[in-house]
Amino acid sequence: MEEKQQAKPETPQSSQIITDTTGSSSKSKSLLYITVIVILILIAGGAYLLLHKKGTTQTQQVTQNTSSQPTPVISPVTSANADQTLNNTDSSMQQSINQANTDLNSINNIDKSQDSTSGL
Amino acid sequence: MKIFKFSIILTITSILLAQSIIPVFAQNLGGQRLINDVNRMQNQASHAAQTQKNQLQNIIKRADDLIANRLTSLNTLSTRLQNDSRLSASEKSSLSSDIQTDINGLTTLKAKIDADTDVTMARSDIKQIITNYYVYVMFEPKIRLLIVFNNLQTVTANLQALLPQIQNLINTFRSQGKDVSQLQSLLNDVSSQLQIINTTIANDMTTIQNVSISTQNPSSVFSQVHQDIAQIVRSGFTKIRSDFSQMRPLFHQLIFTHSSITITPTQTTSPTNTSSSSPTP
Repeated sequence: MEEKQQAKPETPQSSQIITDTTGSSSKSKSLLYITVIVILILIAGGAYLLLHKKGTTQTQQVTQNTSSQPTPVISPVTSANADQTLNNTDSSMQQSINQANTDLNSINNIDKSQDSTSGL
Repeated sequence: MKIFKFSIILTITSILLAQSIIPVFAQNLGGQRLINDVNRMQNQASHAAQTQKNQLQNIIKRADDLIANRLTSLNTLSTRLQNDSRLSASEKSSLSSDIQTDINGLTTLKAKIDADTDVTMARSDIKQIITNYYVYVMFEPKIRLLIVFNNLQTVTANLQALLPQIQNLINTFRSQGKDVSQLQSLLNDVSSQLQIINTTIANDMTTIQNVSISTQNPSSVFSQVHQDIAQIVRSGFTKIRSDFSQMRPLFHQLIFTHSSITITPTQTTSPTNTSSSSPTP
């Protein structure tokens, strides 16, 4: 009962209602702004994800193409990247030769006597 | 006289008695020998059976060890294959399938040997661990060499794709009146080396792929292939690298000493990034 009695005086007057309407209008405006911002963020995020996903798919496709067909996609060699291209290709060759050496050493280290049938 | 008669009767009686008793003794002595013989034979049979059982257990244990070693080696090989960053998916799949076939075969053979009850059969089966697979003499070297060649093929494919691009750049310089004779000569050498390398790799790959468990002395085949890699492929790559190292200052000179060429800043990333950045497996 006491609570009801206390609640009564809080009933808004007509002037207050006008003020509140103005407040709700500004509130709805800010709500609108927020909504627009959120939508923009969502669109931007969605676009980013879409582009990122597309990029990944493209990379996978390139990898698959490279893997199924050994011929890779080489961008045009220009005066700007000639030096770097040759340098990178040289590094790639060096890596492959090193790997081949490692593999050949592994083959040399195989104990072939384990395939002897003597004593069986 | 009486005594004489008595002695004759006694003698005859004794003889008759002896004749009736001796066979009984003889029979008893022979039966004992037979029993002894039977016992001895039983012991021998039991001993032989025990020996056979022990032999069978030893063979099975030995076979399990041989198979376990091979499975470990094959799994290591499979890991090496899967971790390779240059091999294509189809190359990995093909080689991996070969490895898996051996793993499955050896696993089945292990189950068969474990269930063997006959020494002769077990002896025959244990030999199959070696002769049906030759994991160390033939299979592992073969797969490892194929991995090497597939990797080298990837590099040569990258190089092959790069050559026309370099040629285009040289043509551009030539069209601008620049002296590109040295560059052209070096590029021609790269092309020539690449052709030799590609031919060698292709021939050697065919040779290796034809190696099987029925190949007589596969080690000599692998030895020849090793030699090819060392003498032709490796030296070919060394020459190409040398050509590239000579080309770089020449390009540099043409690009920077002649201001007439516009350097386009768009191509900043290396076209061979994919191949060069791939880590060594």
